[in-house]
Amino acid sequence: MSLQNIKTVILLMFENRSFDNMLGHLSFENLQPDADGILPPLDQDKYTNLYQGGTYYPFQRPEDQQLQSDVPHEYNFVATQLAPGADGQPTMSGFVEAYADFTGANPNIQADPMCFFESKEVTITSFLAQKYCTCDRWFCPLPTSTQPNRTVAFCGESAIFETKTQAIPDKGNIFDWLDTNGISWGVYHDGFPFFALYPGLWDKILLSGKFHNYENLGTDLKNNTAPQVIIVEPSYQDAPHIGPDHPNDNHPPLAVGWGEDFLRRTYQAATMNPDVWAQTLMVVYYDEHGGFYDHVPPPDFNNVAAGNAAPPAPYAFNTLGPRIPGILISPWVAPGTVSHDVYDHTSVLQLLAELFTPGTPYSNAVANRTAQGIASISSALTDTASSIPPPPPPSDPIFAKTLLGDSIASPPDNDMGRSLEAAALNMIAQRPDDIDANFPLLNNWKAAVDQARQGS
Amino acid sequence: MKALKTLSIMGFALLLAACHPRIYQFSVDPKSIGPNDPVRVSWQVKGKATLLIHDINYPGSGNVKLQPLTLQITQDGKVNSFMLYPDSTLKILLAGEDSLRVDKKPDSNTDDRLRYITLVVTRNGQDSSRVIQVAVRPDAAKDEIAFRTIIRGDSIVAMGINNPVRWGDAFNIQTVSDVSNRVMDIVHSNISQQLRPGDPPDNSFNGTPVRGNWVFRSLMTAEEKNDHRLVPNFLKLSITIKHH
Repeated sequence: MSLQNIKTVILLMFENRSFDNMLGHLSFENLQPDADGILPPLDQDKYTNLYQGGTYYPFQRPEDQQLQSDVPHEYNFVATQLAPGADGQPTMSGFVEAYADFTGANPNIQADPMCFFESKEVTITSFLAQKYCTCDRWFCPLPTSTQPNRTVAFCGESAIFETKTQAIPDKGNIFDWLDTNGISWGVYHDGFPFFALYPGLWDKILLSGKFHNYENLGTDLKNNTAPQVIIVEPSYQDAPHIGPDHPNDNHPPLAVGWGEDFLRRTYQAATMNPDVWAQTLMVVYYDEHGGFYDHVPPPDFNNVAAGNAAPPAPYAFNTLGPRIPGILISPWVAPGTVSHDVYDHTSVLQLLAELFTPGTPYSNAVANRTAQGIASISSALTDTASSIPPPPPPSDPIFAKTLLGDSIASPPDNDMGRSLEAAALNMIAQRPDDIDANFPLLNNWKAAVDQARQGS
Repeated sequence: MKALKTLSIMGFALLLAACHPRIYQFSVDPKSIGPNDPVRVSWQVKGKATLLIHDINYPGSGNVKLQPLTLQITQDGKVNSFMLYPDSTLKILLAGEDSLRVDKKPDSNTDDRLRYITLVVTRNGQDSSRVIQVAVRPDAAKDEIAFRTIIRGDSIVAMGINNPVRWGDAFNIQTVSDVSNRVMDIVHSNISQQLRPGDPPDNSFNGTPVRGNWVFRSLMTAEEKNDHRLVPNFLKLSITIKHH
């Protein structure tokens, strides 16, 4: 593998899509037959989901439109989705049942969790998956929701097991690890950073000077002034929105067109300077499956032994979470290939340790996961660089058809939204001077929210 | 000046609070209909409501091009006819009463369809939507019934209530066939029948409702008894249904 050739790592984590939802079309359309996606016919036993005697199968989403609601993905719903069989192994047959439980309504015959996109709806994701390395065994680390999975992604372990309005412990966080090891880093955020949910990281966000507006990413990469490790944050649907900012994190019910455009801009930034690109690895992944169907059962895994909190009985974190889309984009991956190695989000932390602290694992928690079979994404790197210049992404305009129903006049109706909003309000209350210096527009957002909700 | 600014902000706030489209209730019943059956659509919303109707082939029924048909919409006591063409969407502005009836002009059309009925509510540039699908089945059609398995003694049992909301009363069983590739004892509507793989479709349950309680029972093989990983996750029947 070519670790010495990687000088810049770009991490872009989207929200809430399963592998089959975004990349199942690779095999269905025969674009990348080696990828373990959806295969025709769609009404195969192995894809069957069950609800009250009815059978439900994957279907192609005809258009990229906003869904009518979110799709469930908290730990109790994930347990229903995995639907252990008589032998205790996941059957992946409970996605429609979980959706019916969540919505309280009779599910449609083509129920939203069973949909998958055709390549024409996810042009940039599909393009990158076909041109670079698709990972078809990348599972989210925990069979639960956003906050715990993102915490494992950026801390290596999680002291929480569900998403709710809470301050999240940051033990093992990537920023301390990078600082300790003298590695330069930066966060380029297109909206309010997810990391605000960790009070222990507020100094990093507000004082370090390493949290940058996303619009600077292209300039910094072009001028070769970007840090070694770059975390790119989309604008989160659940977060407070400032000015004309539009969510582009792909979190349902959002249409994915906005995220596709964001992905294109990030890829264009990464490839802007040939010298930088020649030493860059860009990782595109998702925090968790978002409640969307995936046909590959996650393997057994002892998450408690790996240092993570687990929910009360009868729920158990004895598997990884469902598969998510993972794409490795670099001159140092074989073009148009598929990695079948088992990855989770700590595979990225493994790579960072191999790059910057060779011989020393990122942490004991990550080492525990490695010992249980989680590979480093370095396993997909090659010894020789591709001599092909980075292919330009499709340039067609992307039309996101949204059916926005909410505004700041209504408080968030879910725990992630409430959490991020509470973090923003607490930051404003507790660190007003730093907010003025770093996020002045957040004050405008608060004023607008306060006014909009008076008397509502 | 300050008072004026405050008033302006308050006005803006009131506008924001009021501009929200809302869908308080949306229903379409029944969810499975015969070719010429009506459905009733009802809604409670805040905002300007539009109903979209779009048909696709029923999943698994093939890709035969759907035939155009005439829908009759009864709203506020008035009946209007609309042509619904394949690959097109019918758009109906809703006003007045909070419900309408959708009939089809009777004809001999036997397409097997899944009808998307979408309510879109807009208000001050924002919108919200809900989708309810209706199965529009021909007089005779194929479908499936399946339940998860559990192990009971030396048998595998799959049982449950076949969704009464999805099926309603418009269809009865015509025949059932064993597609689980094993001998199964079936119980439904106080009728018991053993099915064997490869047998012709069985009409023992002819005329019983599709919805309701079903029990499938099958003896475990010696291999399954020794290794429960070999037990199938569900047992499935193929059924033909008949509209009545």
